[in-house]
Amino acid sequence: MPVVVKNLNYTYNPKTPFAKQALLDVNLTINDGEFIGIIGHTGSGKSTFVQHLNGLIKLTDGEIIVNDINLNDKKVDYLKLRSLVGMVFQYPEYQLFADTVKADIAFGPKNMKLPAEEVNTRVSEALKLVGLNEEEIGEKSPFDLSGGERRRAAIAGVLAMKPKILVLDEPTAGLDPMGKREILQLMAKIRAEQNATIIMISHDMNEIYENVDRVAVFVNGTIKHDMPTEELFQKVKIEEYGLEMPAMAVIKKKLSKIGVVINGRTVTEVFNEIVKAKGGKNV
Amino acid sequence: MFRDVTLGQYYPADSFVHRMDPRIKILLNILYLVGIFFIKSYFGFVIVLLFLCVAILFSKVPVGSVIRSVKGILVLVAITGILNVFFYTGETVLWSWWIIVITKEALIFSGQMILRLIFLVVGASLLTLTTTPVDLTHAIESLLKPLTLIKFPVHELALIMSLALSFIPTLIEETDRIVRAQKARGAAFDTGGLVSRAKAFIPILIPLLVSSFRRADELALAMNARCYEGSTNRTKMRKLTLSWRDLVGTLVTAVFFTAIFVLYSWITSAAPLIPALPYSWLYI
Amino acid sequence: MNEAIKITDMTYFYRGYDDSGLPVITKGVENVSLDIFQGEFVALVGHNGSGKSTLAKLLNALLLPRSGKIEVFGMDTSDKKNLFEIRKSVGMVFQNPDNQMVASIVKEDVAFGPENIGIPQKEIVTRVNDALDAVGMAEYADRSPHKLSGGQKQRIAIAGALAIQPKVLVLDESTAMLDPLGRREVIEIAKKLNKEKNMTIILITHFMEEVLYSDRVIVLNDGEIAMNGSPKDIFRREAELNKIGLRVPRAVELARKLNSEGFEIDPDITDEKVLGDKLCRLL
Repeated sequence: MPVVVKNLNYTYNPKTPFAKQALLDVNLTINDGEFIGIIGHTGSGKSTFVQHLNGLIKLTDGEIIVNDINLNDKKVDYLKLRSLVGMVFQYPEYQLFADTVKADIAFGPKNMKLPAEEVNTRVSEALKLVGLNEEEIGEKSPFDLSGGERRRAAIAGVLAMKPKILVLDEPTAGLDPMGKREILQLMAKIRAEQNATIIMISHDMNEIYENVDRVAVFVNGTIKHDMPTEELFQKVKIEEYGLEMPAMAVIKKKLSKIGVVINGRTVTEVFNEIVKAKGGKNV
Repeated sequence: MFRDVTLGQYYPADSFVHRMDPRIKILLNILYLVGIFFIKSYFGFVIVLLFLCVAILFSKVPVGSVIRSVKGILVLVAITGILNVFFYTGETVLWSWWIIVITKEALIFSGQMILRLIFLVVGASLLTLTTTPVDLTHAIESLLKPLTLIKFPVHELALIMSLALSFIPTLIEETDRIVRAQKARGAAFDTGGLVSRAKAFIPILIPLLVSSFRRADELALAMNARCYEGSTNRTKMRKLTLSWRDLVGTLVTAVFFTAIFVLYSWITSAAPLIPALPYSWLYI
Repeated sequence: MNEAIKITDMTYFYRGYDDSGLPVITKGVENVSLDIFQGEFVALVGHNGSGKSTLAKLLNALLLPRSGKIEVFGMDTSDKKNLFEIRKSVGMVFQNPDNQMVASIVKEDVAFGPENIGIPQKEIVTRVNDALDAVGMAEYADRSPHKLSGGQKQRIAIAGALAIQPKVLVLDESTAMLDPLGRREVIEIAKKLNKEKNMTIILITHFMEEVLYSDRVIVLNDGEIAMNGSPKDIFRREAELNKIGLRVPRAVELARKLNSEGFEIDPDITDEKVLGDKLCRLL
């Protein structure tokens, strides 16, 4: 069941001299299994928006329905909501606290009041999913892990709650190219194995271009554009919003202007397509 | 500009008091605090009230802000007042029930205590409302300088204060972030008994502590990279200088408090005669 | 050209303890020899853990070599007498914008360096103003740094380093935690300082796109120098880069692929717009 957001408004510090409207009439419907990217300049409302989805910011003006939970209800079961919508913040490794990695990952399931056996199973599964060895890493202190391992342990902590909708705020921030690749591969794996709906906020347009199905562009608190990835980067001049065009999209746009349509979004795909296109002509 | 200042107490304005040297303001404040405890009669309170009005007028701080600063300790003041009413031993009993005895003397004493505390807070608030935390730190460092002769770490103290000031907003933000991240994992901070609520803070405190150590480490590195070597041969960009305003401010304060001290000694020496005077209760 | 920094066969390792309390050695950098000349814009790249930050800290004597030596403008870093002068010559900006601020007012923070080296009061004021002008943050002099963006904070950190008037500026992953706008701001200032003031810039980064502006790129792998050449030279060794966990910018990758496939594309193209135009002419 989809996530439906209608006419969402939000103002920080309302009725004070510091009032700031962060969201203005935001409308968005996210379907099951979609991988949607949220982009926009810093301060455009992306974080404010996603934090409404799991109730970290309480709904004050608008309508939000997540699966069958209506956030306008008098008594919203936030625990249920947060087990449904898992959220991985920026630099999630900074929230690790337990004595062992396993204990930290168990935090979520424990808060869900699951029986001990179920908790243990979930911890093992989460560790496996993120590619951390249970015997080697499980009993270590989270503070003894490398940066990349800590990030994966933090993500495992959210995955252990088995959310149907996964929100990731800049999951590759601060990582080197190899680290970024690992996280993106992880996300592909989660998608394939759990068919989760994934919402990813990112500043890396190349990453967005290569991975997501659909993109919502936030500009000054409102969604200016909402369309499939390919269409967005071909039709919309995102430079106007202070965002950079993905490298491959630039090339494809130029080629499309002379009538050559290239499919594919990664370098390899584009390369193959160009070769094919060339093959069809005599040079 | 409001939000720029940590602690939120500073009220930016360009007033006579704002422009006074922070060291003088601190010293006068101390004089003021001492003076309050020399008030021996309600006349004294009136004098202090007058002084405060003058100070507030010349600081261009809205009365509302001043009153708001008292709001915080109002509870404490009320409790002190009530406790004093019950436990001060007086003679003229007005009302009693079981072991609770309320005497006239207790009421008067309590009333005075409450007034003193309120004046105390207002006076101290005026200091923080008109002086930026940075200036306060500079002033304290300057005033304590003589202590370096007895090897008291004045510079280090001032540095710690200034670093703490810079990092408070960062730490507050980080705490907020950690709280949200743990809430997203189902943590709840407002349910359960005392013990479980206390335990609920571990997932907040530990990351915060670890992060603070890391910050301190990185900061020390950055400071070293910028040639920090302690207080040896250090110069300062900001020079605190006295001006005519400080002289005027000191004189005005002196006048007011001379009045209080004079009043105090009059009343003390005339103490045996007081009960015979009309409205003798004014003289306490 | 003078050697600003001369590194001769230098090794640094970290001493630590493992879980059972036994001392353990972690590699930092090993047998590194390198010359950096005054006025160069050098990029230092490598995967996380390759020794980049270790090398950075060895440049201004925050760490001292275990063997071999580093000379900064002829001064041996291991000699205590030189410490002050070395740190006056080599300014450094770190990764976390928040953890370099010493004061709660911008100009006071920038003044920290000059205060430490005993500059007379009037001159400190001049230096602070000049430094803030150089980074374009003069109007923020009396503000609190707290509410500024990451890019702005890093610019203030740069101003703080500039106020000491160093000859070399090391940016140790100073763009890693910034959004694209902030990264651009920092890189633009580095370029400006290099061009206008002949300042030696050592840019430590894992964003290969940032490497394009440098005169020379030094690639570290596992504590040792793997490559040392111009960006063009480095990008030509794409396969090697991939093996050590780095990747070339996407446009470069595509250009090289097309070139090896027989297309008339210059394999040294780095800009996707240029590549796109070229392809338009070919197809």
